[in-house]
Amino acid sequence: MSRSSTSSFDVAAPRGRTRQFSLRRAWQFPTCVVGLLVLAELILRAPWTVSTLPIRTHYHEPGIVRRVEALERVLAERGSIDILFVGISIVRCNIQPLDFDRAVLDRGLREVSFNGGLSGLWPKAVALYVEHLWLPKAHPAIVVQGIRFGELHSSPRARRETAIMSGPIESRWDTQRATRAIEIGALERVHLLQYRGTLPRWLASYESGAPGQDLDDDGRVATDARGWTPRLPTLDVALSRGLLKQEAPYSAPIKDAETEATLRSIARTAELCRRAHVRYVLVNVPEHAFRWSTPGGAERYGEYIDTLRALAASQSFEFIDVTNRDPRRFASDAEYSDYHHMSPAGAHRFTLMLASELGPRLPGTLTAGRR
Amino acid sequence: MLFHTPQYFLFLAIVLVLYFSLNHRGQNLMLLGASVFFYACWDYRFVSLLVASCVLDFWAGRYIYRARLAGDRAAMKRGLLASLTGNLGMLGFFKYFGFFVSSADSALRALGFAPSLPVLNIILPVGISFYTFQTLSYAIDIYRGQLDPVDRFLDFALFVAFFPHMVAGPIMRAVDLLPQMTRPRVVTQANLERGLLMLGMGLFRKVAIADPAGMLADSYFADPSTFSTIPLACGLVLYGLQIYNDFAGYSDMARGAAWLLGFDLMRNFRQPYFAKNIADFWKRWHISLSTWLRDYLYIPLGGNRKGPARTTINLMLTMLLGGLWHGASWNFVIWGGLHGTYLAIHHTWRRWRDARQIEWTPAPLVTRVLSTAVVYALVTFTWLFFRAHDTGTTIAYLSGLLALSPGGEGALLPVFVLWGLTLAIDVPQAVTEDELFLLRWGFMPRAAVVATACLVILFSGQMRHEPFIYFQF
Repeated sequence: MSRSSTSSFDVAAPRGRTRQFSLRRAWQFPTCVVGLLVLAELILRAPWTVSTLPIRTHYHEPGIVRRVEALERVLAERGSIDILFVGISIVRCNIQPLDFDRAVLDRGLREVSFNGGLSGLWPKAVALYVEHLWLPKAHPAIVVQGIRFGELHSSPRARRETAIMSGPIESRWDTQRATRAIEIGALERVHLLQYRGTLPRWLASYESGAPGQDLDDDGRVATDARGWTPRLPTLDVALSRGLLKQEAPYSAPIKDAETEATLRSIARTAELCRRAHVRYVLVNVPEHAFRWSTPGGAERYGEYIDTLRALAASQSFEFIDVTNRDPRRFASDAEYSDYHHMSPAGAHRFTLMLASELGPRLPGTLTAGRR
Repeated sequence: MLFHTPQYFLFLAIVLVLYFSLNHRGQNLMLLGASVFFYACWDYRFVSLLVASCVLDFWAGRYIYRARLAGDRAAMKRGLLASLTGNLGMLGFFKYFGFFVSSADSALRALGFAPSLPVLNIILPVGISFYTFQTLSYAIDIYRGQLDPVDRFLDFALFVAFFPHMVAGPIMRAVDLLPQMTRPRVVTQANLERGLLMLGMGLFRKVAIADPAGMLADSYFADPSTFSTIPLACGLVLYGLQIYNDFAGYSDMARGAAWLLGFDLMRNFRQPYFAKNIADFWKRWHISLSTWLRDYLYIPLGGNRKGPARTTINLMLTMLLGGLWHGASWNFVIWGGLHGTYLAIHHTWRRWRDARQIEWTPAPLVTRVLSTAVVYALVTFTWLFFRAHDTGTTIAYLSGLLALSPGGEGALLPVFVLWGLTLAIDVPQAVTEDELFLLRWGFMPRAAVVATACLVILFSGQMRHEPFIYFQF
């Protein structure tokens, strides 16, 4: 069979080089390339490079990477975390770890707390991150989960599970592959693997011609060393600007199938902590009184608190409610930036109240011995 | 199993280990098994279709050959007709049935009828357009007396199903690939080096250029009305970069894998955007399809041997069918029609120039740059019809382009970056006329380039693996 005029090779095939196989030569080149990549890894680990390059992308959302970076810095400085606050953005904005530490220090306790609140993480997702991220990484003595009534029901604001599980590390959490631990370990440790998608993301920021449109929440506002993100402006300013016209008092049922499912997620987080020998505390994060301002709202609020208290009792964990079943205890517009995120002043007051509730329960249970 | 996923590289590694531990016959058997497994990973239901296609053409080839030896022209035609009917019937049913039914339905409705034509939701078997053309060329070449049939079904089945090229080409001719199946192959260190470099270059094109370009182009095509003229123009350029690097990347990876196994697949792209005229573009773009269409459609139709008018008709027909080959949709027909028009104009101009013996001698560099720019602009504009999936998007995109609205200059930056990466491969390839130019470089520069390419790939990788565009055809 000779080549014909209809051969698919219009261009002569390149001639093969006829060198003999040499194992030494075969290894030299890949070794050199790997050496250069190791050099690149070292450069990527340098603080200057980390601060200059865009945020790493090994978790599904930059906010999580920022939290993990902050946690690693605290662990490097202080050795361990005693109290870890988890929950959605109301935890991130309404609890100031440094204020909390100072408040309990007044009681003679040297505690290190960290705020691991992440926007849009409803209780089911909180359980996921507590299991796979916070407990193994932070090794806290106490996990404090903040909750508000709105989280008992589903919401378009809640981060979707499919979005969460699209993250390079998160997508490996629920796989059964034998290499799972190696993959996660590599993604957590090797900086070369942590910038996946950075180039297209950077290019995409120029899509309409001007970059900077895709900054996440954390990228726009400052977050302190312990993970607290202050929220501005205050509610009165927001209202005067007409920013909260869509907001309304709560009318959803206190108990239904959705709330039951959420309560099971909270119970799961408690159980995960118990299995890891970590104390678990559930905290009601108070919202503005407006949320319960409908007729019978106060009673419904009491019913909500009782539901959480009953859950805590049945699952044998502690529950803290600084409002004492009274929604009107947090009604100042100056203490909120909307109806659930507090202003720095509100966060300060709530944090001190939380410290005064939690502080007396700390001795004897804390991790002083771990240091 | 996409070529740029870890699963494929694991599959390829296992195949290589087995391959080097077997003799020639065992290698072919194992490669066939691996190819069927590879195809079944896409959709196991269509393996039977692949088998049917192999059986049909293996039989048709032998039938035509026996008739050829006996000098029985009628039997030869019967054999060829069986192959054509079987292959084109299969392709027509799976790829075009729905299209023609819906087109007929729309036409009848426009005429005031209310037809109730059967609507079938037929899944397109992956790779059908590619392996059908391959098996067809086998039967046609035997009919033409340019090829003798292969003796063993195993060799023929491997020729059709060989996994590196089965899903999206290159469309190999039996005359080139079958001898590689039947004769023992020698894998040298040079083969391995070339293969690995080709695989790496293909991966780079796909992950570092095509996917980011595609991500950006998608957003422009999703809602063209929200962008000004410059970003929309950038969107077209980016789509041009996407489809080139996506398909060239796939072809490089296919050829790289084949080289590792001691096979030689044909080159499918030769820096098409450097073409100096539209005919030159088609000698550089999807070469295995354009040469197939030339040899099995354009030339049998009469090519340029039957006068100017007939040449134009032949060109238009070839390009319209070439467009339709890509998919059962009118936008591909328009795309093919536009390219046919460009080619017809080009041929007419050349004939006119040759008839008057006009010497075209301005400064060569200026001519070259200008003609390349014109061809590039035409090809890029024509991608609009290839990419836009409906008339509404096409009109909205065109309106946005023609509106000449200001702003959005920053959108040029991704174009520069991704064109820069494309040129980083294409310019040295064109200058050295060696697609594996990197093998000529010194040890350290080569290692530095490979390490840098690895870094760019790591920084470019998307969260999900985008399929190759041509897999849908």
